[in-house]
Amino acid sequence: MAKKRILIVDDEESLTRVLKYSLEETGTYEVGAENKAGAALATAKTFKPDLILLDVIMPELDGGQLAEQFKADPALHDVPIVFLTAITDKQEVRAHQHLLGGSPFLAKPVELDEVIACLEQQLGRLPPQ
Amino acid sequence: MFAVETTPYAVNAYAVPVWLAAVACLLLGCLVLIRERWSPVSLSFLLLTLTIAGWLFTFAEMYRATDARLALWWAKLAYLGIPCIPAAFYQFTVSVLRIAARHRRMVWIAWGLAMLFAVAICTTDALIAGLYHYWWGFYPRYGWLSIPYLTFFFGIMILSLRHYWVEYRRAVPETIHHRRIRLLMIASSIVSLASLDYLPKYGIGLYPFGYVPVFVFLILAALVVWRYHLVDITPAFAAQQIIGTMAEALLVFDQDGVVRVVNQAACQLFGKTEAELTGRLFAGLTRSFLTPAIVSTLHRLGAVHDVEVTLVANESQGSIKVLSVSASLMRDSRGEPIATICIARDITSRTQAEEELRQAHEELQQAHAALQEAQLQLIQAAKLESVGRLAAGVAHEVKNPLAIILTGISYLSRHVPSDNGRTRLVFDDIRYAVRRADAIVKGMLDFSAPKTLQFSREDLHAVIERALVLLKHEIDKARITVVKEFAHRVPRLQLDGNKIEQAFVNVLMNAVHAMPQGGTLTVRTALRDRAVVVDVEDTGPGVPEEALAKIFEPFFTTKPAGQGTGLGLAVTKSIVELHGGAIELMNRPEGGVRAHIMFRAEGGEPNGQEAHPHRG
Repeated sequence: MAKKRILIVDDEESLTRVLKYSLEETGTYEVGAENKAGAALATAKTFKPDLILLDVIMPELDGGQLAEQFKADPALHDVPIVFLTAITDKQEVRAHQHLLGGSPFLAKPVELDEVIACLEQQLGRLPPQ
Repeated sequence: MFAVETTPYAVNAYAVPVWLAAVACLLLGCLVLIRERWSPVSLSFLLLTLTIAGWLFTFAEMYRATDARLALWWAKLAYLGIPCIPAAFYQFTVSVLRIAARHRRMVWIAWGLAMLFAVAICTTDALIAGLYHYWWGFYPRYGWLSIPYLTFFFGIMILSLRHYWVEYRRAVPETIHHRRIRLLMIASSIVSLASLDYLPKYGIGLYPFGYVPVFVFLILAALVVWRYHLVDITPAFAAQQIIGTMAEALLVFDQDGVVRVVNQAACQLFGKTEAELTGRLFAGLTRSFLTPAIVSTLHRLGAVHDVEVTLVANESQGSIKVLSVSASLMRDSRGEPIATICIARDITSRTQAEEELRQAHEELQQAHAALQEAQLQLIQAAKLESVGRLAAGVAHEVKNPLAIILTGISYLSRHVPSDNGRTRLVFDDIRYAVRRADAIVKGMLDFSAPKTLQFSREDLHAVIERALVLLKHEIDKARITVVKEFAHRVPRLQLDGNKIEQAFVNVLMNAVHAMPQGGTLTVRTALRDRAVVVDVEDTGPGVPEEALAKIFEPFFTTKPAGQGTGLGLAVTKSIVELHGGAIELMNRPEGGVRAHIMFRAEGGEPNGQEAHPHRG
């Protein structure tokens, strides 16, 4: 099975590192990490990810704005996005829904198994639950 | 009779004015007596006018007499009264100056000396030694007694004038009393000119014009009477006036309860005339005033003060009055009670005002209590809101480190051999700790969530059922029996279904946690006075009473460490109150806790659901 390329965009460097190590050690992912929201678009263009794991609340640009930039880019337009968010209240999620554009989200803190299940589902390698 | 024969008299023009003065003097004395209602001053004034009139009348007759013997008889008769003039003048003086009490002895001395002189003059010739025959008629001739007599006469007159002078100096200037004394002093000075009448008694042929100053004195005295009143303000006189002017109603009941005395205010109060009220027995009126309590106190203490009495004051109008009654016993000279004096003050409007004031005060107190309660709630709400805001900020920041820890544990646990039980146990503990921390953060976020609700018509029973489904695993694990006693026809309510579901999950979760060894969880609904009531009861150990007061405070928990976040009930209360409802927790007498939740049912519609006790 070809490795899928995952780009993690989160301003928490420790989180991106532990996620990167964890996902890479499964042997099924090639993981890129970007901690600066402003540089995320350029990194994505270079990295050419199959999926972007995107934090919602970041300085400079929030996840929603960044998602719009990805969707606007022809090369990244079809790349699925999974939001990683500290917002867990349903109403807050609802308030941000227009930013999330219907993309799935994972609420922090999240178990690695949940992350992998979600990624596999979005990559079409697992049927939706 | 010798003296009344007409033949020894001649028509004498000089006698006419004297005679007229005598009549005027008598008239004036009577006028003052009537006007001053027989007061001591008016009596003394009458006495003075009588003595003066006697003098003038007898002298007028003496002038008219043509016979010397007859004239002497009139002269002697005149001196039966003339010595009394200074005594009467002195008595009038001390009376009008209101110093009679201090000079009573002197009054008696004056009268005593006057009597002695009168007797001496009439029985001897020591004073009237004979007669002169002047051109106006016969006139007495004085003997040796004239010296002590005139000394007495002028002595008394001077003493009277001195009293006037002293009192005049003592009186407050420009008061009625001051002006009265001044006028009487002037009148007395003028009347003293009449003493020139003594000159012809010593052979000096000066016409005795004494009746003129006497007449002037009388006119001035009349003026004093007319303008300034000589009446004495005696207790009896004042009492009558006071009763008439009293604003309070006065009633005097005799021993039979018959009204004997009333004043004008009482007549007005009862809408009856004095004649209608007095001399009759009004049983209702007497009973109202002389209540057993008042009569008993009266006989014990002799008086009662300010007893409140309610009665129908005017039967035709049916007006009910509240009176403040004071009463005392009137006793005879032996001390035996003969009547009851009642003084009643109409306090109807005051009582009404007091009642209104009391009600207003009560309302104010209630409003104050409500305000205090609202203030406390506001303070509490503000406190909770600030806690909530802080929590929300903290929650977002805590989530990331928790995510790092949890993901890190997941990562590390993959590098630990599956047979390394201890390390795996530690990893599980860390994972569990993160879950706990996350639950707290989630609670804080719930607590600080925007207070806006998504209302829709919800079936409360269905919401409760959903909450029970969510807890099914926990309920089954603890082997808890669920009893549902749902009421008939509970209306659908305007609720935010998700929030209320969350609230019920919290309440039910508490009940489940209270019964780790099993028990019965009862959920009961009822429709009471436009409110839907939900009682959630457990059969656990209950909550310590001191904890009940704090049970809804954030981060307050009675659960063992790690089991509760201390936010569940705070969030629940907040949700219920956002719906205009209320929640309270109490220990049940039979053991366990009851959560009592109320929602307003206005505008709701019955959902027709029937009670179906259910065990699950």
